[in-house]
Amino acid sequence: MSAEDGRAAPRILLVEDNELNRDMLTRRLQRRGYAVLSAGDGAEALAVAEREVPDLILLDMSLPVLDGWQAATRLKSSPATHDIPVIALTAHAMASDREHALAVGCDDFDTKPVELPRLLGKIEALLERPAM
Amino acid sequence: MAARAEAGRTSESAAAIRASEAMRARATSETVAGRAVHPLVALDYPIRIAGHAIFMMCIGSLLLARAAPTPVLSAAVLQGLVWPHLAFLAARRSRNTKRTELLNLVFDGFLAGAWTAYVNFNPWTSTLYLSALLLAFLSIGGVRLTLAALAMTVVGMLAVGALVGLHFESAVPPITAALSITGVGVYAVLFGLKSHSQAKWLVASRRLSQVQSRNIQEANRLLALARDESTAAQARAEEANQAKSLFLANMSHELRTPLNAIIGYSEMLQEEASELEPAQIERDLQKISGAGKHLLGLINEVLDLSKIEAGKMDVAREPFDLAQLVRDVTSTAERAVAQQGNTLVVRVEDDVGVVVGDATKVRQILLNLLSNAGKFTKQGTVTLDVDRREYGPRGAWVVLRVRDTGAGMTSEQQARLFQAFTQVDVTLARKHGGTGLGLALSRRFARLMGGDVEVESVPGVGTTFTVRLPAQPSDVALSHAVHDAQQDTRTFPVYRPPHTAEMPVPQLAMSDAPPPDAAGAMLTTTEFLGKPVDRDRLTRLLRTFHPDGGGHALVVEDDPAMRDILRRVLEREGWSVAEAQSGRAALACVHGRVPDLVLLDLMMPEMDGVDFLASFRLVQAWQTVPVVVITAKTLAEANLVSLERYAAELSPVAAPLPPPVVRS
Repeated sequence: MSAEDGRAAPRILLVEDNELNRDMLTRRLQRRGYAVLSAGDGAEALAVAEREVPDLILLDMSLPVLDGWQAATRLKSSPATHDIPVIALTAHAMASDREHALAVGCDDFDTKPVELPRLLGKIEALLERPAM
Repeated sequence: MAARAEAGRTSESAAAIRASEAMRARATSETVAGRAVHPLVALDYPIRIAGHAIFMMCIGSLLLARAAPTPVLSAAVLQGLVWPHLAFLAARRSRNTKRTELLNLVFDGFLAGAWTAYVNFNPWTSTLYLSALLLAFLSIGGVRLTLAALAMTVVGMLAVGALVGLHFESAVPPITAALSITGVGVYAVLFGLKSHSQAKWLVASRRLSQVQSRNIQEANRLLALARDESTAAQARAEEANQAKSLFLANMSHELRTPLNAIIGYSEMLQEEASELEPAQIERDLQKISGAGKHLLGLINEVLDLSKIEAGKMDVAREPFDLAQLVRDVTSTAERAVAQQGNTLVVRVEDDVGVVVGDATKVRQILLNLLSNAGKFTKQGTVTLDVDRREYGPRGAWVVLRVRDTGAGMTSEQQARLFQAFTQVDVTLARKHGGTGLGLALSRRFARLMGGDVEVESVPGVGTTFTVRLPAQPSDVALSHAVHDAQQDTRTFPVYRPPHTAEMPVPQLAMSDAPPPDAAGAMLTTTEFLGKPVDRDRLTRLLRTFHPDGGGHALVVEDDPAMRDILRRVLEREGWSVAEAQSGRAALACVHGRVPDLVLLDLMMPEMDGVDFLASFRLVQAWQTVPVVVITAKTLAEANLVSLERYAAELSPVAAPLPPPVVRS
């Protein structure tokens, strides 16, 4: 499913606490035809994910209240949100972060600063994946 | 008394060690053909020589008295003189020295039994033999050996009985009685002496083993200590390693976050610029420059921190007016504090006076604490108290206290407050535009200056940070560093001819040093600006020279992009601009038209900034032209020194130049 075809725009939940980066990524994703929901911390992310059931979640790992690792664990253990693909975003860029992200159930992983074409590729790949 | 007892004990234990060494040497060091000889062999040797000599003299006297046949006499003589040596040699050369020696002893019993029977169980010789045998065998070989020897004695007696028959005779010739008495006496003396030395060895070896056991205990204790120490060191190293990893991870995150915004917004602008409203473009550009400045601040603070960690952070020691510094800082911080509806109250004691230290760092600490207090307080009051506390004829502390009525912190939060990147809430700091390094740096700065920063806080009531600094640090506490490479502004005094005294060189004179003479005034005419150039700062600086514009500036800079930026700032402020790519070109320009201000890069081809300045300052008419040095490099000590030397050469007064004055 791509943003350009006639169907409803895929909805992406962007979880990011830095206002600038949230604004920037929201606008760039919207420009490519995605509907973007946003949350500023892990707890808010869980609430929005349960309520809205987006098509994909972009999850920053360094978040206040409830961090990304915990949020991912809870998203993946709840039946309501279990099937939503999650891409972990971290600015730490440690080798272990990737393994850690996959271990807590994230479907993919990307680092900041975001390289948009790469991130878009990952988003597309996960959205096209048949639902499990 | 006690001393003597102690000395006695010492010499006793020394003697014990000597004795035991001798004993050990005798007991264990003897080897034959690589095999150890059992100590019993050596022990028995003298006893056997003496015992057999005495015994065979008694037997011999009896044999002579009854005119025994010559072979018997010869056998007695041979046994008395040769057997002990044969026995010794046999035992020494044997494969099993102990076993052979025990067999020797048993054979001694056989010989003694045989002779006793042969002399018809003479009571004196029997007594001599029995007492000697029992003493020697019981002491050397124990009960089992003694029983075996007694059994062999009986065998010896029976063997003689079988050959010549057993007879009993109680008459004793006087010579035999005398020899026997002498023999028992001599033997008892020898045996007594031997057992005395044995007893001495025993005591000595017991004492030695006590000493050794004490030594072993002590060694064990030290070993345990060393083990505990190394375990602790390992734990500390692991902890430090973890802290370092956490620091790196957090730093990476903190650096990437603004970079993410910079890259994202600029890519977005590239894509969308044609569609966006100018106002939107400007808003986005502001976000980019804001993120860039934040990133620069972070990089500078991380560099500061690593410099401190590496012990390479220099601390200036220059006198500055504390009250003036506080006024400067509070005027800067006021806006930040007021942003959340807070009131800033400043109370400075009248006599805080001149403080010797690093004004840049004090300013940084104070600014950090004030802006922190402003960020974490809403609709409250931030109070700054400054006073000076004398604690002796010459010592004094200056105490700066920043108190807020904000949310306060728990003691757990306070404990982590001064750690780099591990502060109470990184995300909170980021939300407020902080770097999360400010407090860590503030405390380290204060400690470098011989003081400290402490925190007291009650949740819900407020927080108080107290900065304590020595008003006049001791020589030992501080390095003699001239500057700190992170400071981006620096001025130094130069002589200003009297006729130019009215020229506007505002807010530059900070030195408390009096003019060297009535004709001249110590003025600072050179500023430093760090790269990337902070345009607001540059603009403010330009306005201090020509508030309404209209000045003529010479930009000396080899990088065309940098020249372009500077030209645009200058022109916006109404200045006319001349550009030069090198020091040489700049000198040519100056000959054409003397500028009101020179913006000077230090690193240039052909003639660099320092050389340019030297030539430039040689001409009297140009000496008063203010020069702002702009450099991306943190100023190397050498450059500063030469800059100051040129400044010094200009001074008509031979008196040594006062130290450079730091301001920003």
